[in-house]
Amino acid sequence: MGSPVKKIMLCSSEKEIFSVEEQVMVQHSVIINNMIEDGSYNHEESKIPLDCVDSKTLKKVIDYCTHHTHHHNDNQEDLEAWDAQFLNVDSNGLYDLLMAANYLEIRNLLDLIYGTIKNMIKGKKIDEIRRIFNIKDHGFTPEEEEQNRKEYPHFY
Amino acid sequence: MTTRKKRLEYEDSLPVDLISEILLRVPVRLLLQLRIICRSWNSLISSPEFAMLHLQRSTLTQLPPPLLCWKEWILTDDIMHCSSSQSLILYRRHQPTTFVSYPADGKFIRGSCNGLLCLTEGFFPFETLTLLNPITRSVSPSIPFECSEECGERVFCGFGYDTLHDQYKFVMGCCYSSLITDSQVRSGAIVFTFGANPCWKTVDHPVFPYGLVSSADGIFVSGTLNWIVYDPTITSAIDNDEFEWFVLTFDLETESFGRMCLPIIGRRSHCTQAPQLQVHNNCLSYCFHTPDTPIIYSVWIMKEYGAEESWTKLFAIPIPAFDVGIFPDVLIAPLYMYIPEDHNLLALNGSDGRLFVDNLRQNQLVYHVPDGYYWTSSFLCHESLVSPSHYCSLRTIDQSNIT
Repeated sequence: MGSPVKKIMLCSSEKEIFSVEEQVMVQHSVIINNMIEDGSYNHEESKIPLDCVDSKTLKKVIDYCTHHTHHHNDNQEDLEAWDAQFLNVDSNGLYDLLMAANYLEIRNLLDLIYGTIKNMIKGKKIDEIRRIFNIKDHGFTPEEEEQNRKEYPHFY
Repeated sequence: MTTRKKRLEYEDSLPVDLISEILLRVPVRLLLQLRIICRSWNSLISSPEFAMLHLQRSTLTQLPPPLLCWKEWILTDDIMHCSSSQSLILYRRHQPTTFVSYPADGKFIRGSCNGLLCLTEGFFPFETLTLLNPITRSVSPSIPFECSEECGERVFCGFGYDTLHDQYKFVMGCCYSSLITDSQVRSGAIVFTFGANPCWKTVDHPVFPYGLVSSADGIFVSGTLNWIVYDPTITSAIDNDEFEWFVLTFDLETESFGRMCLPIIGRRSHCTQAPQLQVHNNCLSYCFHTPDTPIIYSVWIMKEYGAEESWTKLFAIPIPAFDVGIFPDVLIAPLYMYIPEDHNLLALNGSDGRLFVDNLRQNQLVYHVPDGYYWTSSFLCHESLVSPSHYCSLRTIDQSNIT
């Protein structure tokens, strides 16, 4: 084999260390790419602290980046099937992934999650959407809510 | 488990910028409904900034099928209709479903841009201008049209958007040379800018006036308005009845006129009948048919706006295929091509004012939209959240429309 693959260390909110191929993260995360490019990451001693990403989510994010680095030549159908399987998580898991992808600026993962959440809205009733988005207080007065109910009866 | 439970209970909802990113991907009609999810979604969706981002995003990605909006030229019918062009193509033999009707009190549609329709009151001279968003059903106040008569009686006009200054503009000018001798009539065009300080302005053009070949209502595409015209002072060397047709353009940012060539095959008046401009997939399109049998009907698109070498033939089919009783000099106006799935074309037959759907792949008539509609003036309008009142200064009126 050739030269050893360059690795970087990522540290989750539980202080668990993940060692990942540098190329995998550089290709996908704008933030990590910038850190490597501007030299703020030291391969000897640095760990990138991700205080708002838990281990479970970080592992998924790394899975995503790894798969998309090594399988980017796969046909579109296979990749889409893999993505669908990858995002088959509950809404909390999805939000954690969204926050992590947003923090690390992983654009293709963000697009994938936005699209998935958009599809979750389609055809749902108002209470289900409020539940999906964890909206407890809609902020409308009872009169306004009554008016809304009149205007969109099928949405309730 | 305890952490998971705790998070469900206390976790805040998503940050508003992420909510915005999700909602930008949602089609307009569903967004209107989502305004009642909560107050913060309502403010987000109703904001002009969101409307702008949503519009930009939907123009970049594939546009959803537009609405077909028309006003019958019957004075007793003062209702403006908007129907889904997709449902006209997909649900055969159905009456067009007018899902938005708007009392139009003698108003007529003059242009369509970014989901807004520009309406004028009366045939001519126009008394007022109004903007209407048929999908949000919001309407601007009517603005008195001050210098309508200065353009003479035969006018061309157009409605479009100036991206640089974030303004909507209505352009009106005089066509036909005979009228220019009237000292009252201006030799250029008048540009009206909608906004907090509405303004009228005259734009001169050194070689005006041109003769208008097709519709007087300009086609908006890529920040410009476009009309097919000819210069009546220049005739062909062989035949002084023959003219060369070209596109008169008006750049809404710089407020200047220009000209572009049509494809070589369709620019001589003797070889081309019923020329029309339209927009297909954000590109300017040009359609015409040959005057002699076999009558060939062609549609070209300008893939890159302004680049004359990018005119590309989209299709050319023999007219008998339409089988809709078309006379040689009659207009067929293609309205909407539903290419991705079934290669169907929705078009208007100028000889009887009826809409029909033709399949381009099989070259045959699919069906006639049932009788009773004489849509001599119909416009395609894309769904958007753009607020007419936001661009006409009186923002308070808009609030009452949105809640």
